[in-house]
Amino acid sequence: MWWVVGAVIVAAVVVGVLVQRSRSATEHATITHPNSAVGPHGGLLVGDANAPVTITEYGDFQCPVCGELHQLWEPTLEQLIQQGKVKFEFVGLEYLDRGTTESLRSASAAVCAADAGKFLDYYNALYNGQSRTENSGFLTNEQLQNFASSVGITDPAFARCVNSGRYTGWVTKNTDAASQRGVTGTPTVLLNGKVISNSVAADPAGLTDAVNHAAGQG
Amino acid sequence: MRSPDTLASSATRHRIPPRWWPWCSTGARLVLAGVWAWAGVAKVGDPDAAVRAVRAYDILPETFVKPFAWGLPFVELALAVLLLLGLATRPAAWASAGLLLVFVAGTASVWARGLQIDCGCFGGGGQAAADATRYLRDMGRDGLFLCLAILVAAGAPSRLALDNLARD
Repeated sequence: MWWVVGAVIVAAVVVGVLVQRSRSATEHATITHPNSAVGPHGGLLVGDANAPVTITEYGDFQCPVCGELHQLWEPTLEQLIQQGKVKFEFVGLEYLDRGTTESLRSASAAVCAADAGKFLDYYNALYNGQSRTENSGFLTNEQLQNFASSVGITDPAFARCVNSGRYTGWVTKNTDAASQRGVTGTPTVLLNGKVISNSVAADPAGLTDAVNHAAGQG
Repeated sequence: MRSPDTLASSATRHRIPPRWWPWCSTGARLVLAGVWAWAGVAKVGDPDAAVRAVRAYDILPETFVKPFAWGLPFVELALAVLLLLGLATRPAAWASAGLLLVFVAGTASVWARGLQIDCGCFGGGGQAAADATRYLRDMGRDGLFLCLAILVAAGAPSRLALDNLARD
């Protein structure tokens, strides 16, 4: 009877690969590359392009730890960006979607906000208005539009961008690329391409010291 | 001090009656079928998350990540069906034991290398917070399932199985 099990396992692997490949969003993603995605890791870039230090966040708008980090580092980060010391790269991922597309659509909507010239405001609004529970159905397209209105995005192109899922393929590909790069969770923070611990990123003094050190001023 | 006869009769009193063994094997077989069905269904719904979960172990070369991640839930479901029907029961149970050993070894490897991941055994997967890794619990659970698999593979023939029709 060993041949039965062997044949069944081989058949299961072949069928599994064929079926799952046809269902994989990554395999079938149609990519529209955003103009603002000029970061070194393919993410959206904010700040002076000549700033000596790049801080990269791999984030998921449903991720509660990302929300906590945002609360802790946002004033310091914005100050460092305004001082021209830091350019900030955000790579939105869909790691926490479980039977929903809330991470995917919110990360895509952030790109739509970048097209409208309001990325950082929208990014702040999404984290500040985060739901307490993941995959709760909170991040509907209507809610994503409400966040946009709250930061002054009035162009109807934003709603068209969100509703058509213009950048979902790009987010899906970014998520796969991040996984291949060894980013296994969110938030993952890089400073000039090297991972720094979330505790350093969340500490205003620690983050400032790390940036000054990387900029050669420490 | 008790005589050897007394000890023997005491041991006999606590031994599971032989006629119960096929039913123990049947119970273990059905529990194992349920475990595989649960694991397979949980993983089959999101092929991209399954790929990320397998990658997080950082064991397989990239070429094999997708075939493994996409094939595994179907193998689990196939084993569930074989065990549920009682078809090729012993080989299916040995295959289950082998797969469980792979899982235990994978978890041990991740633990030894200091990675912090969720095993993704029943869907999900990827990174876990340092205080949220449950390697010992995961390995203990898989060890328990391994015992069930060995009981089915090496124990008494189970009841309510298609294999019995071929035997009769």
